[in-house]
Amino acid sequence: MRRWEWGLAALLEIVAVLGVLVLAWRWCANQGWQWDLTPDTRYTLPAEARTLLRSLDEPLRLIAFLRSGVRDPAGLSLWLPLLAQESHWIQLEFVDVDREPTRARRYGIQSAPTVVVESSRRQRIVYQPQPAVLLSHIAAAVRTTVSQLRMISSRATAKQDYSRAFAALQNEGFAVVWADGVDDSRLEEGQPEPDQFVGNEGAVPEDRELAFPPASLGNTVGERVKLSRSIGLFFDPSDANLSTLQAFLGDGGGALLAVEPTTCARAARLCAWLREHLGIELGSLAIVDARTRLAAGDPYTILATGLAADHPITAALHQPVLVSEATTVELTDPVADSAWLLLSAAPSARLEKDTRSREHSHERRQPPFPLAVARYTATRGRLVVVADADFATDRFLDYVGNRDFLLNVANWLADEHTWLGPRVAPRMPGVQVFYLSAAQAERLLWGFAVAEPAALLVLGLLVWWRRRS
Amino acid sequence: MTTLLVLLGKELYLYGVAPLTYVVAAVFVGLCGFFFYSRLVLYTQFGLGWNILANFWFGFLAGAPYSVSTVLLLLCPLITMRSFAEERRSGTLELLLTLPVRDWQVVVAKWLASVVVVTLLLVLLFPFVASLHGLASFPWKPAVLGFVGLWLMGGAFAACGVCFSACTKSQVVAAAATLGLLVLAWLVTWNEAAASEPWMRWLRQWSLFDRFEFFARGVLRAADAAFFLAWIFFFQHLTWLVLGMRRWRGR
Repeated sequence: MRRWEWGLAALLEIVAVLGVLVLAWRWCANQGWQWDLTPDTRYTLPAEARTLLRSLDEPLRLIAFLRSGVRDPAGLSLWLPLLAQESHWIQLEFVDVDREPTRARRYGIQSAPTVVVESSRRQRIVYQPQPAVLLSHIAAAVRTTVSQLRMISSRATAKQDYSRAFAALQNEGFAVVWADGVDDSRLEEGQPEPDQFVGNEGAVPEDRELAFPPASLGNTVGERVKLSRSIGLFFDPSDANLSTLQAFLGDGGGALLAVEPTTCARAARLCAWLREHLGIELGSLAIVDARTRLAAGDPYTILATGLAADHPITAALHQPVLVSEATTVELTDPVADSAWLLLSAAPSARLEKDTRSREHSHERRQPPFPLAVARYTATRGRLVVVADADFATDRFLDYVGNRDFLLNVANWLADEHTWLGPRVAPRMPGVQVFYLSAAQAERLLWGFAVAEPAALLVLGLLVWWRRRS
Repeated sequence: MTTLLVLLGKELYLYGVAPLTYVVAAVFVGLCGFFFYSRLVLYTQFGLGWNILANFWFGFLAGAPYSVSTVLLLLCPLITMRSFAEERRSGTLELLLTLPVRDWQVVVAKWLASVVVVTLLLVLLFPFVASLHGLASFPWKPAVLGFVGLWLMGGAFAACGVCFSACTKSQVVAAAATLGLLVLAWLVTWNEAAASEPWMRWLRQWSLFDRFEFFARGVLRAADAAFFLAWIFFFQHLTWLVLGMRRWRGR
């Protein structure tokens, strides 16, 4: 065979092989075989969504506005085509806002990524779209019935936007008064009304069209337990409010006070009241800890590793509690069997001036630094004071032992001792938190970036030396 | 089959006694270890309250440029560059091909040997997974699938590298050419403004990164696996053709 003949044959063979391979590959792609191994199957459309999309009987345009050169964090380019595959009525278009700013302006796009849902009847603009939210907008754009909307929304991960602490307490059967967000005027009038739950601060973003009627969660206030998270921003420690609290405790009620004097000037009045009436002293210096702080994080967000073994709230906890910008809290008249120190910072912690000035303290005080106390009042009212207002927020609740600690506190306040203990972590889509302390991070760095490669290099040197000799 | 295993054993021995293999492994683990640490700190810092570990695994496996896939892409040409080029340069290839072995057996043995090395490199990362699992439980299936995707992609990289190594006597040329093609195939869609949307949609189908992305997110798509297998088969076939060229070129 001559050279050119061989070359031609080889070229034809390459083209033929390539053709066959591409055909086989495209055939596989057209079958749409896919196995979603993520725990919440987030890259698979739920059956309800498929039903909705397949029931479309009119054209629907989805215009995704993205920025060029920026990988879309919402993964629009991944899951929008999944929607488009379900119905031939859906027209999907990706628009680069940098290349077509006029078009973006025409639709009034303020930021990217944004999706415009356009039907013959309506147009809806969805900023920072998530699959469930976008589906509800699609349903609304084609006037799908409300029942379908609810069905789809039930898959949403928007629970994250609500107070998870509140939901966790609800799940345990508590009726809760959560002072955060309750109109101060209501407090001044006396008791907050049962339906005045508003949620944690910023719990429901304004751009979400998700209603959260308190009645849907059975939010009626019972007398069994009332919790009050008090920080100056929302809870006005006026004489009237403090009298209400005192009367409540006097009636044998239970209250949780999460007070953070290091960041809230208005808490000073509450601190004075606690010192005077209940013998609980809150410090003014913030606790810092370079060892248990979040890796590369500020030294004010730390782990409270000291768990009191002599109190049912903490005795059953398996994990420490994450706090931020906390200070010390102590009992000025410790009485056996009626007052306890619950939590304390790790031995590596120290005190600093405050979180604003960031000046070092000259106080020579040595650890441990107590972070939470529990006590009975003279009338068998129950009180837990935590010198940190962050541990039960949505941001921190799912970390380490925070959820268990909060629920144990609530159960102790309600005299429900059989419910005290660690719980199985809830599996909520999108909420998969992880805490890495500075010390752990340091071990990972030395172990994997230094020790393991060094061992391999030594092995290579041995092989080289052996071959040479 | 026995011939293939003998050839594979010989190739693996050559990898085992070459200090370069250990240097490459050390660099691979060192870089991955540093990215593991720095990404974990990053996601712990800025991912408070969100899907930290799922996002971390995606970033660690696929998030260019600080990811395992990028390191593998950069180091794979160094693993495969000597497979044919060194034998061509030293003249042992002719000797090998005069033995009673078939060309395809030589090609497959060299590719399999480099795949074994890639597999060992990935196995070296399992302490990372174990240590993280010790710190916090996480859904292991998506992470394992990510590694399966890396392994398939490593096989595709190796097939490409072996092919270029068969084309030249120079190891440097082989490594550079492999790197060039892989980087192009990896980053071909990085700038979405560089082409029109239909053209970009077409290109995206051929991009190694886009094919690997679903693996790293925990979704096994038959199309993505088929793409890597097709890529491997194509380059193996090409290597076999390149070896066959000696018959008409006379060398």
